[in-house]
Formats: sequence, structure tokens, C-alpha cells
Amino acid sequence: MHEPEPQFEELPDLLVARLQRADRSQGIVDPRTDRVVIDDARRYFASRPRRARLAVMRWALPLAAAAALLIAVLVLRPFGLQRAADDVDGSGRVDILDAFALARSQADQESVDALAARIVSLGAQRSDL
Amino acid sequence: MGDVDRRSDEELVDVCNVGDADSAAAAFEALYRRHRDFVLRVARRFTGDRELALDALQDTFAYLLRKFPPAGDGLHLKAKLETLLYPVAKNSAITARRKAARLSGAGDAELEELPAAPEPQSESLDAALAKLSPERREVLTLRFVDDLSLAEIAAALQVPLGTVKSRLHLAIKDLREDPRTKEFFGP
Repeated sequence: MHEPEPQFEELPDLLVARLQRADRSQGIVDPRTDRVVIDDARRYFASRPRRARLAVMRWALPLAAAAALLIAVLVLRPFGLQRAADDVDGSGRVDILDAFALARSQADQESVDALAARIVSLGAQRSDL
Repeated sequence: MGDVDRRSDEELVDVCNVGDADSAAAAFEALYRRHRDFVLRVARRFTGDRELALDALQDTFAYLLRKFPPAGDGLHLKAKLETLLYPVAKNSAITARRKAARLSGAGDAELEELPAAPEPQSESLDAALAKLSPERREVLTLRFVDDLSLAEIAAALQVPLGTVKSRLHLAIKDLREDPRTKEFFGP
């Protein structure tokens, strides 16, 4: 019942029981008081979000972030991931294979030569670096 | 709320701090139901009147409620909740008693800020308790009726631990020597 604190005298059990009985017999709260206190608490906390709203709030932020990310991808993709005009075979880089692909696509010889010239020129710039 | 809430005071206080409207109200109700009898007993000791004690009980829990947001910053329990409730209940009871005395025309001079001694009845125990000094009776009651440790009593009364030990020692000594309670201690 009590924490052991041996350096201090304890009261005899019978005396403790009598003390408790006398004091605790007075501690009965009426339902009216219960109602007043509990209603006060309900009114007080009512300004906080309710559970359903909190659940929505919990999902709202991740959902908004995901939507923003999706929109960003859709909007930026045409710019950021746009294929280079000379990347005929869609490999992600412009090289001699693009010239061959252009030739195979029966483009006019002038376009093929111009592409090949640009490729050689690009290759030369890279080797300078 | 039919079932007894098994969450600790600390858990309930946390829900009152940050929970939504429904769970915070439910947690507060659980705290109230758990501690109302203690608060009423304390208030009764200082008012000696049931109606005044019930007023003090309401004031005590209104004070506790406003410790939580939105009005308060939140509560962080560092000790048993009783050590917080005790001084609030005591002060609320003293205030309620003062107010009632003022309304009835009695002066403040008659009122002490210490527990009202139980009226000596035919019971020898009541008489022996009434003879104890209010400070000693208060410590004795907190220790043996309310079951607080010495450290908790010191926190509740905001006095040094040594003072609590001394008051308790002297209270027990008084009861041991009082002919009306001597028999409880045996030969």
C-alpha cells in the first residue's frame, strides 16, 4: 500500500483503516456535478478539430504533395525530357547511328549530310574537351 | 463512460494536450472520474461543508482543464497528478469557504488556510485528530488516507522533504501519546 520508508514510523493498520474510513466516507460526488464538469470539458475541447476532420487532414498533406509532384512531372516533361531534333533513333544521344537512321528513313541526301556534318562537328568539340 | 479507462494519467494528459475534440474530452472525463473523490475529500477537509466542497471540486477541474490547449500550453506530468490537484483543491476550498463566510458576514480573521479540524464527536479518534496541529494533521492524512509518499507530500505542499518528515514524525508521536489513540499502538 505504502512505499517502504523504514526510517519513519508507520501507523498501526487498524488506525489507518479507521482514518481512511472516516475520510473516504465523505467523498461522494453527485451526478449533477459530474455533468457540469464533463460538459465544461466537452465545450472547452469543441474548438479542436473533430476526429473525422483530423483523419482528412492526416491524408491531405501527402495527397497534395503527390498531386503537386504529378503536375510537375506532366508540365515539365515536354521541356526537360524533350528529345533532341537530331536524335532520330531516340537513343538519347546524337551520333552516327542517327545519320544512318535518317538515311534509312529515305530523307533527302542533303539532310543526311547536314546531320552527319553536325555529328562530326559535335564529336570534334567533345574530343577538344 | 461505463468502463474504467485503463490508460495511465500520463497517457490521458497527453491526449488532453494534443488529441482531437472527442478523444480529449473523453480523456479529461477519465481523469476527472479517477481523481474526483480525492479532490472532493481534500476540499471537504478545508471547507467542512459538502456544497462548498463541490464548488471547489468544479473550480479545481476547471483550472486543470484550462492547462490544456487552446487556453493553456499543455501539461507535462513530472509527478503524480494528485500533487498538482492537491494545492489547487486546497486553495479552491479555502476561497470557497472565504466567499461563503463573507456572504454570511463572518470575517476573514476567523479563517485559517489550514484544514478545518473535524468536529470532535463521540469518537475518540476524531477527538485525537482534532487535537493535532493542522499542519501535522494535513501530512498525516496525505500519507495514510491519500497514500502519497513523503516526496509527493512535499511536492503537493511545496515544502521541503525534511519538513514533511518532521511533521509526520510529530503527528505520530502525538497520537502515540494521546490516551484516546494510545491503545492502537499496543504495549
